[in-house]
Amino acid sequence: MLPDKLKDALDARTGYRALLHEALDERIPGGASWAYVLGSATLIIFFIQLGTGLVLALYYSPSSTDAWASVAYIERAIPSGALVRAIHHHAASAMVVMAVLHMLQVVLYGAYKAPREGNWISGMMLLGLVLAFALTGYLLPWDQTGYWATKVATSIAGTLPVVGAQIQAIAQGGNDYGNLTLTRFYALHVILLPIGTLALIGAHMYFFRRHGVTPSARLDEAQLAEREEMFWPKQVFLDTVFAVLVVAVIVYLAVTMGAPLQAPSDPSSNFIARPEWYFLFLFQLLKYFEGSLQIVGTVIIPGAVSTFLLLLPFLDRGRSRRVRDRRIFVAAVAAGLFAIAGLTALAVRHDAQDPSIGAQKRVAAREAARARVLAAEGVPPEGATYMLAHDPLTRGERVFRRECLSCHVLEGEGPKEPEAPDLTGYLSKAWIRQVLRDPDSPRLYGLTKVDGMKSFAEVPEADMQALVKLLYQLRQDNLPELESRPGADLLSEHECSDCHDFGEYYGVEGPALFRYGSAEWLARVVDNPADDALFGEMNDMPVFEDRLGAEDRAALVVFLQSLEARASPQDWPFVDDPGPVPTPRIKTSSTSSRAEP
Amino acid sequence: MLKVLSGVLGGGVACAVAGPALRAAVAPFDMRTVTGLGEFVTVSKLKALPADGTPVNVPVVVSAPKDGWTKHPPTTVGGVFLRRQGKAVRAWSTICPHLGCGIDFDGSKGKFACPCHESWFEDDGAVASGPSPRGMDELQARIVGDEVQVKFEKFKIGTSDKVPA
Repeated sequence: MLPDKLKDALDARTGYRALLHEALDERIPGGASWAYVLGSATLIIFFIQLGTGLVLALYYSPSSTDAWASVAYIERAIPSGALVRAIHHHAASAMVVMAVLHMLQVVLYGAYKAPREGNWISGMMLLGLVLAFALTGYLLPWDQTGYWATKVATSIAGTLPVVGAQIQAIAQGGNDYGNLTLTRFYALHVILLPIGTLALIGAHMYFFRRHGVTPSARLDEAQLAEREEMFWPKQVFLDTVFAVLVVAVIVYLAVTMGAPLQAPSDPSSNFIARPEWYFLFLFQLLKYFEGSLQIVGTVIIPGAVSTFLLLLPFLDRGRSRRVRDRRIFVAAVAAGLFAIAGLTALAVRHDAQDPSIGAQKRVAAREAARARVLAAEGVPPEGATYMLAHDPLTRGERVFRRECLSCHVLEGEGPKEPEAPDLTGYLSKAWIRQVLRDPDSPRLYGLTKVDGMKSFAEVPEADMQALVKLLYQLRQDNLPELESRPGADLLSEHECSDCHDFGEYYGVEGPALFRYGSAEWLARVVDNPADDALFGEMNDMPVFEDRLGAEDRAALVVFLQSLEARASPQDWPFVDDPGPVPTPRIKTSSTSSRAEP
Repeated sequence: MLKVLSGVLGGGVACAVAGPALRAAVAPFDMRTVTGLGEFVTVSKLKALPADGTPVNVPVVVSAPKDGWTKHPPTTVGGVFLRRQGKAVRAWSTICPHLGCGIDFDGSKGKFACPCHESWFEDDGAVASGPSPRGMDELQARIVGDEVQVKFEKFKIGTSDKVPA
C-alpha cells in the first residue's frame, strides 16, 4: 500500500478519496444481501462484452464475401481467438439471463415502485438493448443460422401495417440481405448500441444512487436501521463472489463448448432458421397465428407484454411493497415467465422429435465442417458461400439430395419406397460383396429393371474375398494387366465375364465393368446409364447428361466416390460376414422410428 | 479480509478473460498474415530485356497470395526494374526506400527518380541525391532457361539499413 504522504499528495491532485467515498460508502438499509448482486453481475458481463467485442472487431470484416471467412480465421488462425469468441458468445447468453433475473428480483422486492420509476424504465430499456445486441450480433458471422434466423426478424418487421416495408428496408439496408445489411448491423452492434447502453447505464446508476437499494419488505424500520451496512466492503465482496461464479461458468462453457459457426450463409438453401435459445419462445409464438392473425404473435402479444412491463410502476400504484398486497402484478409476471418457459420447451421438444430436422442438422454440420477445412486453405475473393457452393464434394451432395434421393436411399434417408439401390457405402468392399451375394435384394437391384445376375452367396469364402478385392481394385490406375492379377481366373470360373466386359466399355448382357468404380466409369453412369455399354434397356435412371450441367455431374462423381469412406459399419452390418443372406432392410435404424410412430 | 478476498477474486476473474483477450489482440506480432511474397517468381522473358542494359519496369505476379483469410487468384503485388548486364540480370524493387512511393526511370538522365520527394538514384540503384536514406533495394534475380525470375520481397521503409519488413 502507498505511504500516507503519497496518498495525501495524490488526493490533493485527483480528489480520489471523495470519489471512492462517493462510490463505496453507500448506505444499505437492512445490510448487504445476495439479492443485490444481479445488477452488478450484469454490468460486469457488459464490460466483458466490450473487451472481447473489441478484440473480435480487430479481425472481423463486415462484408458478405468476407464476414464468414474472417470469423473462421478468428477461430482457426488467431491464438486464443476461438476462446475469446466463445466467451463473447456465452457471455451474451449470460447477460440475457442476468438482466432477466435482475428484473425478477426487482419485481419480487417491489423495487420498481415510486419514486423509482426512473430506475425501472431505464432498466427495461437496457433489457431491450441487451436483446438488440443479441439480435444484431447473431447475424454478424453471416453463417446459416445467423442469416436465416435474422431474416425472420426483419421479415416480421416487413409485415407491419403501413410502414412495414420502410422499416424493413431501413433495418436490413435495402431490398435484400447483403453487404449493406452487414455494415448496418455491425455499426449498430459495435457503435450505436454500446453508446446507448453506456448512456442508459449512467442514468440507471444515477437513479440507483439517488434512491438507494430497496430492502426486503419484510424488514421493519427498526430492523433496517439496526442491520444497516455500508456498500464497502461486504456488499462488494458478495458482488465479487457472485461475479466470479458467473464468469467461471461463462469461461467453462466457452472452453468446453466453443462458439458455433455454421456453414457460410447460402440464400439458395432451405436451412431451418432457429434463433438463439432465449428467443425461442417468440419463435414458437409465431406458429399459433395464421394468415392475417400473424401480427398477433409477432407484434401485438410481445408489444402488449413489453408495454405492461414498462408501465408496471404506474399500474401498480399501491404503497405496499409486500408481495401479498400486489399479488396480481407478481402473478402476472410469474405467468409470463411460465409462458416463456413453456413456449421454449415446446420449441425444443418439437425440433428434437422431428427426424427430418435431425437429418438436416447432420447435413448442416457436415457442410460447416467442410467449409472450415476449405477455409484453412484460404477463401477466394468471391467469398465463402461461393467457395462452398463450388466445392465438388459439397456441391455433389447437394445435387445428390436434389436429384437422386427420390429413388436411392442413402444412410437411412430417401424415399419410403425406393426404386433404386441403397447407396450407403457405395462401391465399398462391403457394398460390392453384398451385390455379389444378393444382387436382387430390394436394397440393391431387386426393385429395378436390372436383373439376370446370379447370387454368389454359395461361393467359397476365399473366392468371395478374392473377387471382392479384384472388383474393388478395378478402379485403380497403374495395376498390372487384369489377367495377371491374383484371382483374375475367378472371373471366368464364376462366369462373370460371360456377362460383363472387363477390358473395355462394351456391353455384353450386363454393364461393362472396365475400370469399374473409377471416376471415369462413374461419370459414364451419371451421364448416360442407358448407354449400351452400361445398363442399356434395363436402365430406369435418368440420363443426367440431359438434366445437369457439367459442373454438377462432375461434383456428383466426386460425391459418389466419397460414400465409401463415409459409411459406418452399422449401415452394412454384413461386412465380411459369411452367414446367410441378410433379410432386406429398406430403412435403417435412424428412420425406422419415424416410419412407425 | 473481505477487502483482500474481493481484490484477489476480482483480479483472478479479470485475468481469466483479459488474458485470452490480450493474447488474441496482439496475435499478429508473430504471424505471417500476408503471404505469397518471398518466393522466386517469373517476371519476364530474358529476350524481352534490352541488351544495352536499359532498365525495364515489369510487374510481379504472385500465383496465390494470401491476405488473412483471403486467397487471391494470381495478383500483381508489386513491380521490379530489370537490367540486363551481359549474361546476368539485376533487379531492384520499385518501392522507394525513403517513404514508399513508386520509383520511375528517367531515360534522358539515365537515372532512377522518385517523384514524391525528389530522391534520385544512379542506374545501379545507389543514392545520387535527395532524401532517401539508402540506395534502391536490390532483389535476388536468376535466369532459368529463357526466363527471368525474381525473389520479390519488401523491406523496411525509411531506414539506412535494408532489413526485411
